[in-house]
Amino acid sequence: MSSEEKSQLRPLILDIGSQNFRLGWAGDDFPDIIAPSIYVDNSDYLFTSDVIDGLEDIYITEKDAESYLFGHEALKYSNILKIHEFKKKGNLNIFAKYFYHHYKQLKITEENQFKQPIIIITPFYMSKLEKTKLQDIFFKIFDFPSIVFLSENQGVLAILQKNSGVVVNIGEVHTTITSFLHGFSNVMARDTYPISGKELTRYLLNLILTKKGSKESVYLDKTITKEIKDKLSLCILDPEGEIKRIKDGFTKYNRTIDLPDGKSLEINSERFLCVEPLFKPSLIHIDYVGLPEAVSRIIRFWDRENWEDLLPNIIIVGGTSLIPGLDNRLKFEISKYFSERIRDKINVIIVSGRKHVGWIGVSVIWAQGKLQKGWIQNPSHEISKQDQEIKESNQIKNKS
Amino acid sequence: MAVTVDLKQQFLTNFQNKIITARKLLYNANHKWASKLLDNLSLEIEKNDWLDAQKKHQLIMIISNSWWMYLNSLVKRKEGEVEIDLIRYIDAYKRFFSFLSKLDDFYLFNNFCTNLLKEFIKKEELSQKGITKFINSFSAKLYEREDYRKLFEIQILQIFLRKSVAPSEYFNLSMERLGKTLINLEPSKRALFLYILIESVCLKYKLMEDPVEFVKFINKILVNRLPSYLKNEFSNISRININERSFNTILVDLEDFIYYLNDISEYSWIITFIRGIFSKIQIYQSYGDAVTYIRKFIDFAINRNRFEMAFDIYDFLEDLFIYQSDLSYDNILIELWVEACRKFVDMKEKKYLLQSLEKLNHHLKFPKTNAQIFHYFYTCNIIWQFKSMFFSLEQRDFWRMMFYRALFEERNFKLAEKIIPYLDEDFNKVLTDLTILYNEVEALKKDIYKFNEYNDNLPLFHENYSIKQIILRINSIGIISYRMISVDDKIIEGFISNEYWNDSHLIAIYNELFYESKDRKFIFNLAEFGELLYIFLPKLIRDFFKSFKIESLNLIPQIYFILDNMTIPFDLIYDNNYFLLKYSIGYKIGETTLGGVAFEEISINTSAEEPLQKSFNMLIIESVNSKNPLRWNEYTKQKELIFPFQAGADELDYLVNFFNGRDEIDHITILIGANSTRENILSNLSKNMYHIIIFVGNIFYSKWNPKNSFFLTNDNNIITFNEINQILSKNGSKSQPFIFFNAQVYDIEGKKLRNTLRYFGEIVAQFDYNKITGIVSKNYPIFNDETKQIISDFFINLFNNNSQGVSLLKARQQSIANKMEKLIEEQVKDSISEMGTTHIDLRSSLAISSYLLFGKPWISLRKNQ
Repeated sequence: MSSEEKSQLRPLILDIGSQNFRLGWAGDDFPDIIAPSIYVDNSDYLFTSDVIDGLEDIYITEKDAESYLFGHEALKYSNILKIHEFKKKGNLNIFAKYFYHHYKQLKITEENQFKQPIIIITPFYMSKLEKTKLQDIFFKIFDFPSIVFLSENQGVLAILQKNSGVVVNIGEVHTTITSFLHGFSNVMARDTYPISGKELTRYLLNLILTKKGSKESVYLDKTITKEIKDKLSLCILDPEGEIKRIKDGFTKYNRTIDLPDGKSLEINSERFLCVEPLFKPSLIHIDYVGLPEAVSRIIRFWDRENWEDLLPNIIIVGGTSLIPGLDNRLKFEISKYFSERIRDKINVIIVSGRKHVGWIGVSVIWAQGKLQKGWIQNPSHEISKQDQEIKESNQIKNKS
Repeated sequence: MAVTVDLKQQFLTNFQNKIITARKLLYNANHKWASKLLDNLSLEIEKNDWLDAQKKHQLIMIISNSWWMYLNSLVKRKEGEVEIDLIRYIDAYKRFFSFLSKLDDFYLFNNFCTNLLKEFIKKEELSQKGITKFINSFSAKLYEREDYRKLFEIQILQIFLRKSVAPSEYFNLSMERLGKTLINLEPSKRALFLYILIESVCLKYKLMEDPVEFVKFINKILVNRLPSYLKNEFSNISRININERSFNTILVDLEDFIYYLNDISEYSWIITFIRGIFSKIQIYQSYGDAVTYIRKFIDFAINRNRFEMAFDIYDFLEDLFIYQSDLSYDNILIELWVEACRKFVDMKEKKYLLQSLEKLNHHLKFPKTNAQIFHYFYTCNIIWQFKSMFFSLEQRDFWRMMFYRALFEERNFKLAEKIIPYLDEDFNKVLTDLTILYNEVEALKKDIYKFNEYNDNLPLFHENYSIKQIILRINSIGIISYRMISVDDKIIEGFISNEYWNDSHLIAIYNELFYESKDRKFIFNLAEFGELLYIFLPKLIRDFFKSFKIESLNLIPQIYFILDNMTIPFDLIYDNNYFLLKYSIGYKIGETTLGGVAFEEISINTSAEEPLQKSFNMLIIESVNSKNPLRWNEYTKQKELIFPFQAGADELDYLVNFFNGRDEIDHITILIGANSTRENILSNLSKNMYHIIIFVGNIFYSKWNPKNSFFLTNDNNIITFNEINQILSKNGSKSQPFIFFNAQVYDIEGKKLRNTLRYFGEIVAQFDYNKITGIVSKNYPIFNDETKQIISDFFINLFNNNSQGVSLLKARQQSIANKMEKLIEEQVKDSISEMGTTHIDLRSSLAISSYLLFGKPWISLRKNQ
């Protein structure tokens, strides 16, 4: 077996994020494929008009019809077709096509196709049913030999070489808080937090339109707002004080955004106000505690003597954690929930490349050879293995 | 509120930027934002109330073209195979049609939809589901716009393509509508009506070889799906048989139909009959007969104001001619649309004129042969005339027209040569030798198409017409009217009916005369500008100037221009000599009274009489603000004048000295420096004793109300022109003063205005010319020996009992004579020194054109004593 073939039989790590899909070889530094977790349906147009109808039927003949486009290819048509997030839709048939589309891009030789073990990174809230469905896809549709489900947070801790800590994963669709103590987790000491990146985007859109609405006509959509949020949002310690300064003529936060239609948009306080729902959910009418309190509750769930192990290791990951200043603000706010004695120990850690840290972490775990347990074998392979054994024993018998 | 040029410019620049942005968005597949941007843009155009119909149409066409170009860019042809990004293509088409459907004008939507439909018909495998949906959605729009003929047409087409009737609302509606028309027809003729309608679908979309078979085919499908009220009528179709023998009888019936349908206001069906008749005549007689026959229906339609029908006929003829054309420059197609334009111009029908112009422009391809070049520019000149009556004109139109007039009408090769760079770039290559071109095409002049607008040899217009006075009126719409009287009191009057005055491009060139040469876009000197101005005059006016004769040196013809806006000094017109050196010219700005302007007796012998001694009282007002107001200059670390006017101050000194030495002046009051206060000026003006008032100073122009424009007195006060006019117009005023202005004009913000003519025109239009003799203004702030001589000669002539127009003319002539003398001296010196001749552009002197007269040129100062 050549080394290339060997490397093609390594496990594949698959991270199905709500925002991004990551696929790559275990042991590599970075996923080979990072693609948006979206697809488009060729006939599902954003613009619906009955002015002139029938063009699809006339132009798209059956042989031309390839119903779906995935990932980056789908993104090219984001202003023409409706974008669907397969994770949100829970349509596993589409997911299977999506996976296969990207699997092909790994350029695996024909004889090695579908022979790799699969490591699937899952959030803790993934139900057993969902896991079973995924298992069915990989075993029945593609016939992979084995799979293992691994928590993203384990990967995060692995990359930081820690076995205790609180992982706050603020993604675009989900936010989770998970804690580990000496490598153990507790089902009670974790939480799904109701505010994530998309709520902040919506809030930012609201802030901009409320401010500009009466003065001038500005057209914004969520895609542009998300871009504004990703590029310009920040988190500061004293938003109210800064608002006062802005009113007095402070221009540090002023930014001009050139919109696609040639108009420009001025924003200032919106840049930091859009993050505030994380600290005050009532701003977006969500009846829940702020993220710092939610984190502190998770820590408090553990015995008091363990707090000192957890507090220095509050790790923030996920796309939304990229907002500058979020770590300082969290540290500042979390400290309010602990006594002065241990306040100094609080440390919020940000990891570089934290958008993909889960995938990288799992790759490290595999490389360290720590991923021996938990593999689920493809039943059909087991049967064929048994068949083989029976055949072999029969042959021996016959010989004798 | 008047819309400023700046605002218009800003709108158009903004439009241009948005179009560029939208095109970029389209090419980046960002249809959502692009269509939003383009839709908003079209909305802005539609609601704009100062853009004229043509400009709106042009801008909408730019948007439409943006979509069209993008759609075409998506079709990529590689080695005979067509590759299309269908997702983008379909979405772009949908959005494009949505945009077109929102426009007031249905023409574009209809046209693009029909063309697409024709494309679909050619497809080998056409989705029945798709074409049904397409035709039904198109039908919905046709029904909305009440185009029932087309609705019926595409429903029949749908039946043919599907080979069955699609059970849709629009099929029923089209039948219902057809039933309503049929019921108004004589029962015996209904079958023929239906036959022609169905047959026309076959002919138009080229569906089957034999139209008779087509009618049978459709009738067979329809028979079981027709509503009861139409069954009987359709069953009779099979009895119709048109052949060579029966055609003549049927032709009479068909023609009757046309008249009848027009009488019962069902004229939208008529074009179908015309097409039907054409095809029959073409088969049974000849193509030429067919064309001649249907042409007569153009006048039928135009005379009955059925413009849409007329346009349809032209459109149909275009299709026929294109079929026979090799798609290069085609005189027949061009002349067809010129004729259409002409008809719509006559009927003042803008919508179809615009569409016809569009068609004309499309066919006006780049000419290759000399005959084509002549035909091309001749047509451009006519297009200019058409457009000038209704729309704002583009620079391209302007230069093409000017080139034609310069070369082919005026034989001004030099000027034509100078115009070539302003034509489309490719003309550089074909317009190489203008003399050869002119000589080659001269014979074609008499054969080219023309309209009988006016007879070139008007009966009154003979060589012996010795001109005495001319009044030329150009109103704000641009209508030019004229009235002229000869020495023997023969009057010619009328107005130009085929062209309106539209001088915006000429103003741009005129304004550039005052720019530094590095900033200039147009390189014309003053004389060349004068030539441009001359050829810009409608041919009839030019012909007037060419053909009348000037009686004698003693009788100087007087021209009185009555303008709504003073934009260009007509004194600068140059036809081998400047008008300002030939005619006694005066201006009136604004409306005339109901009685108009009467010709007044002028004596042939106006040569100098002995002036009365000590006759005139004179008031000189200096308001050059030479002491204040001041502002701080940080660079020079000192205060400086805000409105310095050195040339004015110099001229004032000169005038004071000049008048002090004149015997004709009885009394002279000079308000200068600190004496020139508001109070002093007003009290002196109120005395009503001055025959001549000289004003030198700074004027501030109020664009909101020119009447309230003012000048700044030396005590930092203001006096408005309204106040001055009121004082001078007071009852009992007998002096009827002559006023001389030497002024710099600023706007209210204190910005110096560059070309002050229009503003100054608006200001002087406020004066009551029955109470004053006239106004002479100086337009450029220059002061040199020439201006000194002109102004002093002018007053001397005026004192010598010359009319004010003649005084100015003689002063200008004298100035030129002196200049000539110097020039000759220079040349002699040069020839002696053998250094070659020095080129002095005698004609480009600004000084001689810097004085303009407002008021009747034939009035003299003497009368007012």
